[in-house]
Amino acid sequence: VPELVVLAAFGWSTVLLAAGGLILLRAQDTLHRLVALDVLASILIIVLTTLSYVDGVSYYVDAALALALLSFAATLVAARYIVRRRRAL
Amino acid sequence: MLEALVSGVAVLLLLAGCTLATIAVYGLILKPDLFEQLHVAALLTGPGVLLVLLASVGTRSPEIITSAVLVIAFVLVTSSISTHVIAQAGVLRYGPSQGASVGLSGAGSGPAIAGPVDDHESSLHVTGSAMRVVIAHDGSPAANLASDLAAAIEWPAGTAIRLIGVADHAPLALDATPPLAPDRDLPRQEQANATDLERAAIVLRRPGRQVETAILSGDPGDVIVDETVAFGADLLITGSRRRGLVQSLLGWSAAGDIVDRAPCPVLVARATVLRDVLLTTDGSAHSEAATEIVARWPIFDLARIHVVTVSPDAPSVGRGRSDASESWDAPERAVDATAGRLMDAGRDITSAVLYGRPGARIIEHAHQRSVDLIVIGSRGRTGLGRTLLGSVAGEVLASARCSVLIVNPPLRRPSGDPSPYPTGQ
Repeated sequence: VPELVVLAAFGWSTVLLAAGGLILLRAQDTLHRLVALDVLASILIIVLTTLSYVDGVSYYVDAALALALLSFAATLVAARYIVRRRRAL
Repeated sequence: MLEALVSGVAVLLLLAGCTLATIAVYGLILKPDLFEQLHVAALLTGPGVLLVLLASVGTRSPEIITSAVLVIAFVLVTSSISTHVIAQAGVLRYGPSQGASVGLSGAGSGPAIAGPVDDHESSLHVTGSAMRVVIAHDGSPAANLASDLAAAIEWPAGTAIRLIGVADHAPLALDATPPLAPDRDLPRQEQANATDLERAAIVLRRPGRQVETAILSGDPGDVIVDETVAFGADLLITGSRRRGLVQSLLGWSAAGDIVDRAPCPVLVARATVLRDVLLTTDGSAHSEAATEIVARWPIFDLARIHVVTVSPDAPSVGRGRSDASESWDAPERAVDATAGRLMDAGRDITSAVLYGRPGARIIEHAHQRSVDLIVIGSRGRTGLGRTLLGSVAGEVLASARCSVLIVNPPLRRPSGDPSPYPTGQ
């Protein structure tokens, strides 16, 4: 894979990460924030994956796996909390 | 040759992944609606991530490819579940029909429709003419009491009444295929429920009154509250099932939960008349709202109103020590102000000041005078504080033998909240 393409993908996904942060800040309520966080985690997975392509090492993809796991659990718990927000107390 | 092909494919995959991600982020910035956001976000969380991970073949490094395949397997399962769970939370929160009317719920329609919901004032003056009433009905004798009471009330002309039954299976956020909002195609179990509802609706139907029924499924508390919001109801009427031992051990019944969360006043029916009404006041904003309702709602036109306030200031220690100071006549003034407001509204009233523990005194007084209804303002929605300290309204609701009308404070929403609740139609 041409180095340039991988670097460009890495750079672009970093830009998207910033845009994702913007979405998170603009979110009006918890559910929108939850979507934004979900998206942010996905972008981060892309960033880590492209980073591992750049460096040619697999650790970053492992980190991405851990991130995917955590963000999935977080989304489930947060959504469940929103559904039963009153009873959660 | 092969190498060039593989790396060419990898480049294409990488670019496609990045393009999808860009589209998704752009869409997220563009679309304020939750369901539309989910729609575009799925481009990124699913295919976008997968394409970028698939591009790992181009690295020809077994370690990277193995790790990437693991992530792919994981993302394939989780991204759809995440989206599903968020959508489910959205449906329960914003009401079911928003998803169906995505085209209508653009940015412009939000605040206009949300108006009557979060503005308590408007729900008060709208009710000068017609009212919008939701009756939660589960087919039990207690729920029949609710619909019988509603049938006995002289509603103003044009009143819309929505009878809702809830099929009793709670959705689990972790369940991959939960029943979402209205399932109109669940035949067997809800058939009995539907006939109960229809029977109740027949009693309620009058000329110039719009009565509709609906069977919804989901957690009763959530469904009823969301339906009340979606209908833009001025009043929610519910029966009060006496809780059995198991239920009280497990926690609140649906009624208590609904009372805490409903966006409008909640009438818990335990009798089928509203002739003698006990209005409790303490001069605070929430009892003010209760007074306004008794003064303005036409359903209280023929009622005899008895206004009481309870002062805890005459304690068991110093009953005789009450030197006529300001603190002593504060309750008197609260009663006078309320009574004055009601008299201006042409209500038939009497009043009294009671001393002692508010909850217990109100209930005792209500039983002595055998009133049909206690109207009480609720501080409401204080979450942990309520759980720990309890509240007068909660106490009255739990131990009164007559009907109780709990007037909740207006629901506070962030002003920018676009949540476009569908109107009842």
